[in-house]
Amino acid sequence: MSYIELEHVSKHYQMGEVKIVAVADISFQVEKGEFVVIVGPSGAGKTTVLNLLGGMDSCTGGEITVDGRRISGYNARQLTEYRRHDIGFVFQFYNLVQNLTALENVELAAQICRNPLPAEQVLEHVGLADRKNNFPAQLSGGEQQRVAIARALAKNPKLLLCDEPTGALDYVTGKQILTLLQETCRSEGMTVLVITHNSALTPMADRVIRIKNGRVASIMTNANPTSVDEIEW
Amino acid sequence: MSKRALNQDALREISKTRGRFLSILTLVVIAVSFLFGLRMAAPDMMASMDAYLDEQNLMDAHIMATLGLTEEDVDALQAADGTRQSEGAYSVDAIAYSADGADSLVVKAISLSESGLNAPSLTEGRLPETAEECLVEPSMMETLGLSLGDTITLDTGSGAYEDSLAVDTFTIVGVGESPLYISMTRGTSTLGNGSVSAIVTLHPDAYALDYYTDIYLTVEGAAAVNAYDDAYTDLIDGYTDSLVALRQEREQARTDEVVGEAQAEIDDAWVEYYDGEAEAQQELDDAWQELQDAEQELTDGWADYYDGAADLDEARAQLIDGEAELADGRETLEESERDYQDGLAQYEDGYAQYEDGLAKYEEGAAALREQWDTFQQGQDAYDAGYAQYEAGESTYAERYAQYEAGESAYDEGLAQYEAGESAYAAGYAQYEAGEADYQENLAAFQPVWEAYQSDLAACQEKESALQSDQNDWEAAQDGYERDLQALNDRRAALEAEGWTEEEIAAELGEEERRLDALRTELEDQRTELETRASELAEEQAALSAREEALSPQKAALEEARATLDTTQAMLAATREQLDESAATLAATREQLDAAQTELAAGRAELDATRDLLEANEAELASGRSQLEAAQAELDGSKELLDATESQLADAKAELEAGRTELDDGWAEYYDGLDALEEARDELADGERELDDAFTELTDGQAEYEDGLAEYYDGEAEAQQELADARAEIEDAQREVDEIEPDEWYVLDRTSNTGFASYQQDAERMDRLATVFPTVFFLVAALVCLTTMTRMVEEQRVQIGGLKALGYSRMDIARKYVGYGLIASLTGSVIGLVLGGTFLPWVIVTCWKVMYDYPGVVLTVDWGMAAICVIAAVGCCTIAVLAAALAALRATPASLMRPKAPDPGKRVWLEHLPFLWKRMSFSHKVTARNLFRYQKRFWMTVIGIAGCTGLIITGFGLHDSIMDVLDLQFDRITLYSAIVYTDSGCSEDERAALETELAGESALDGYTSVYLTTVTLESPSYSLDSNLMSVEQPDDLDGFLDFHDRLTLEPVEMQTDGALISEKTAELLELGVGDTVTVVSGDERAEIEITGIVENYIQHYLYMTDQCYEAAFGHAPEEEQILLSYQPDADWEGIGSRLLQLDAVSGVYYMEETEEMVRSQLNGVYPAVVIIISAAGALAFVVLLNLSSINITERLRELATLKVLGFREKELRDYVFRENLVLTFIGMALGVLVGKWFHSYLITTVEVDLVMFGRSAHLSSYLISVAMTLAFAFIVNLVGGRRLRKIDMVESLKTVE
Repeated sequence: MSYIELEHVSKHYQMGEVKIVAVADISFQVEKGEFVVIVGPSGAGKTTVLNLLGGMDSCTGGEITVDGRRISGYNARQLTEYRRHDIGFVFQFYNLVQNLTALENVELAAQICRNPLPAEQVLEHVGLADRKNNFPAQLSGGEQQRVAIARALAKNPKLLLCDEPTGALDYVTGKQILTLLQETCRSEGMTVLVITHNSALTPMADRVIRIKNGRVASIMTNANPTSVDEIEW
Repeated sequence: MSKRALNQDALREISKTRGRFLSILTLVVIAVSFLFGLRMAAPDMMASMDAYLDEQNLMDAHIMATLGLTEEDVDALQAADGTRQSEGAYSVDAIAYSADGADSLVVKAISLSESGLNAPSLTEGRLPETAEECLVEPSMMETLGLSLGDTITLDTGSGAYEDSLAVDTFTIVGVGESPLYISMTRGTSTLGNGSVSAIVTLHPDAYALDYYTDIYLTVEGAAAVNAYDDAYTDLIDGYTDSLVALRQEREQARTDEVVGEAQAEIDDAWVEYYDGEAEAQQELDDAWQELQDAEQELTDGWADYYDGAADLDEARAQLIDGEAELADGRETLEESERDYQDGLAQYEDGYAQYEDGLAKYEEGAAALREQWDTFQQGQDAYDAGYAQYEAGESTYAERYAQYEAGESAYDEGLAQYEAGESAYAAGYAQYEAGEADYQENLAAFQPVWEAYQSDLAACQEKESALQSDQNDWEAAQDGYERDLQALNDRRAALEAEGWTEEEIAAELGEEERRLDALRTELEDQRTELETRASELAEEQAALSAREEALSPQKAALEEARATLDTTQAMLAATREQLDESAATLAATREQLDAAQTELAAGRAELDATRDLLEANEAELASGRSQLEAAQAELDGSKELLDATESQLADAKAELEAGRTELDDGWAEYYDGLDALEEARDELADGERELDDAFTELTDGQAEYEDGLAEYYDGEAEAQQELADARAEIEDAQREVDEIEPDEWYVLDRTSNTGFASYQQDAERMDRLATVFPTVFFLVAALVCLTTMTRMVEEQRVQIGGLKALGYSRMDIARKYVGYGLIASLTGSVIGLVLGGTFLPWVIVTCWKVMYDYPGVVLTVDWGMAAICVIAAVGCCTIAVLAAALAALRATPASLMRPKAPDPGKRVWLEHLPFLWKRMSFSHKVTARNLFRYQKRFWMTVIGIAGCTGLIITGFGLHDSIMDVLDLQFDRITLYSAIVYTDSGCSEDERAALETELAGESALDGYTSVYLTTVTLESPSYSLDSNLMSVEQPDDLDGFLDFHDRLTLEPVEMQTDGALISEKTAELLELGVGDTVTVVSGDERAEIEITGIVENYIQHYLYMTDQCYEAAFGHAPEEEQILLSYQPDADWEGIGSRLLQLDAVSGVYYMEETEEMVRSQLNGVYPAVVIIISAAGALAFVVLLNLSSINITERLRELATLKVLGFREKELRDYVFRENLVLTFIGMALGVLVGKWFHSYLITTVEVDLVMFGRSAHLSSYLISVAMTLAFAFIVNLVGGRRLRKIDMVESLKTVE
């Protein structure tokens, strides 16, 4: 059994009388320690899948299993605990708490979970040891995203979920962030899922899942993923 | 162009944000209803009262007159312009007794108008229709325990109202209130306890007065206007002013009438008086004539009698004289006999004495002569001594002159010596100066001289060197000349040898050349020498010039030296001379001093001698005078002796003559004795005859005197009667003369206590409504404003979208303005309706407790309504418009980007590491957030502070008012009842009361007091107060507690001043040490205030009888008794037992008073409830709104935390810790605001008669804080639900 399994997962939204299908039928597996890239066009349902997987939303149909636990049946409270201990989220727009310094943002996440990594160490790991006392507004986009990654990592999660982490960043910075994610995956053995609409990034992944119209279009494994540095887009 | 989509959007916005819409609506409703409602309260109060007074046809003007009013007055006023109706009425004070006579109170009996003027509002029964019927007040029914059909008795007393009622027992046929007395006060009276307790309305026929006491008037058109409006005041003022002429005319007429009637009566009395007087006089005159005749007869009789008596007396006197004469003659004879014998003895004694004296004189003369000799010797010795003294004196004078000459010679010598000394000193000083000068010149000259000398020496040296060089050169020259000579000699020799020229040249050439060289050298040397010589000459010339120049100086110096030396020698000589003369002088001095001593000794000796001489002289003088005196004495005695001798001779002759005379006297005396015996018999006959006549006359006299006494009695009686009659008439005349001209008092409704105090109360209500709801309104407006601003900011993106689509700014703004407009307008209208009806209704109803009027009339002040609506709508829509326009000014693109979040900031707390480090992580976040969202911070703090303050004010108001009772009756008024005694009761009845009280076991104590109602006046104010006077300052211990409100320190009653209640002092603006004017009836007195005591209900002035007497000039009559029961006594039982006593006219229970006041004050409850609920509602809405804004503003942040796995509770804490902190800060401020607000409100709403408690209870603060906390808690619960509902996916959706 794989580390992560999605079987015929579907998600519908009922907006008044209109039923919107965000995810029609998705099934895939991910192994522990893999670097996974999920690609697909806008509106294909990538983010919904990530939200379902991250416990921010619950699915309408199908089953989601993570590390042997069936999270698709969790209630709100269980989902909170799941998010708290097992998931690290990185958003396109960082979503840092503006009123906290970089270090405090990391601590904010670290203080609530069971085996947090030392916040300062994680910040040092993402290369921001010297900016730790700055407020988000005093940091560049790349730096803010690194704080966001540090915040996710500090929780020592089972799963690191990144939703378009480079979407708001320039090319060079984006590359640095991706390198950081890839290195984290390799060195820590962490399972990382990255959503992107940029197909150019696929060579860096161990596994590439393509989603179209709420369904999985293809799943491709990469025996020898290339380093980010070698990828151009 | 339809913009349906946009309108649709606006409407959808409202339904989507129902909560927000409703909260704004609610805020506006609360604010507007509160503001409008309270603002309308006063107008509605006035309108309600006006409606009632119009209904009862209350008079517009009221006339009273000092001499009463007549039917003519009524008619004249009816005829005056503007009068609608004029009617006369009666008003009389009386004491009303219930049928059984047990209860009584002071009432004012007013007459019922037959035309319905001042119509009483009937609550039961019907109006009186006959003179024996009456209508009473509900409160009186209660107090006296009456019911319809019962009878009451009215006693008008013995004062001004005596006999003013024709009937005294009345049947109660109706119960109702008079519109003339709408407030609780009924005025004062001279009867009973001085305070009118109730109004009784009687039929006019019940009065026995021949004039009206009052005329009531209504004015044309007055009913149509509100009596509390200026228009009414103007109308009535105009009317009363127009009455001036009429008033003067009627005053004069009435004065004339009253005075005329009285004068006619007096004139009649005079006529009667004079008639009576004349009659009495006639009667008296007749009686007098009769008496006169009788008297004449008597007088004649008496005259005869007296003549006889006189004759007899004369005879008797002659007899007695004769007897006496004889006795005298005998006595004289005997005396003369004795005298003669005495004279003879005396003569013989005198003669012996004379002989003695003569011998003594001779002896004295011899002694004197001897003394004279002694004196002469002394005189001689004195003269010799004096001559010696004179010689000594002249010797002394001579020697003294010598000494004086020596002294002056010495002085001269001394002066000379001193002149010499000073001359020497001057010479010496000159010499010293010369010496110094010389030394100076010498010092200056010396180096010059020495330089010259050395130069001279050098020059001489050079000269000698030159000399020797010249000598050398001359020697060399000589050598050369010799050699040249030798050469020339050789040349000549060689030529004489015949040597050729060449041979000679060869032979002598060398020598020739050497000589040439030598010559040249010599030439040179000579030149040089000449040069040196000329140089030297020059030098010498210079030196001799210098010498020449220096030589006078040198000579001068030398001369000076010589002079100085001479001077010195001279000075030395002078010195010697001076020393010598000094020695001489000293010797002279010594000599002189010796002479002086000698002279002094001589002087002393002389003085002693002189003194001695003077003493001798004095002694001699006294000796002389003594001797002379002795001589004189001796001479005197000699003369005396001579006189005595001749006297003795005379006496002897006289004695012999006397003897002869005596013998003649004795013979005469014996003849007289015989004649006397004869006359005595004659006299005894005459006396018997006279006694008979006397008896007859005495009888007649007694008869006459009886008649006279009778006459005088009659006369006095008649005069007394006449004087009495005259005095009576004169008194009457004086009274008539003293009748002051009639004076009218034209009063309008403002003079009616109830009407005026109601107006004041309404105005107080209006003041309350000015500040209070304004603050309320501001808080609400503040929150509306924040909410609306927030809404616009939330919709940036949408605004951007619409703008991008090309909608104009106004179109877009319309949506938001419309939102605000609909919310605020709807809210305003609801608020106007609710506030305009409910609040005034409650308030007007509350006031009905204090005033009698039945209905509530609601009015609408459209202007005020418009202001409320405009203010509310303005706050919302202008705020939203401003926010929207600000947003619309930005470009669509920037609008559509998410608004950059406010950057995080460090707060000042972080600079306090010791504190910051201790704080937990989440507390740090809270702290940062608090400081970060400053606008929200202040909004919340102000909102909560305002609401807490309002709640505290509400509760505090209740505390303050309810405190009045507890403080007054538990802490100050400790007595339980007042017993009023009958002023006319007998001693026995009074004693029975004392016995009853002393025997009453349920009583703790009792004390007599004097209690009455007076008017207190100060320069700034005047009010009615109770006056209580007691015999001793400590009589009130246990009945009243006098103390200061703040310190609770006891205040002692002094005997020279009064204690005054606190509020009274405050209103009169008087302090301790000031004096207050006390007016009681027509007495006025100044009393010093010695203390201010805590008191809440009514006004009091406490003093001792001593102080009262000092102020008013008479002691008060203590007619009341204060009782103090034991805690659980059967007080009504005691009261009824006391009431059965004749001495007791009434018993008032404090418990009943307390209950009555309590029921009145309970009327405040609705106001308190209104304030508290409005404040609570406001607090709730404010908190809810702010909490909602807090969540909405930070949705994204909260969603992120949720994603991070924050549990619900953690999230709630994260958000609501801030709210909690803000709530606490707000509450703390609110407590201060509340405290301030409460004290403002209390002083604003206080009435004159009652002082409210000045502070709110701690419990009220606690309850208010607890309420605010409860609101905060509920709001957090609601907020928690919203937090749970936050959709992470939706909130974090990437902004596209």
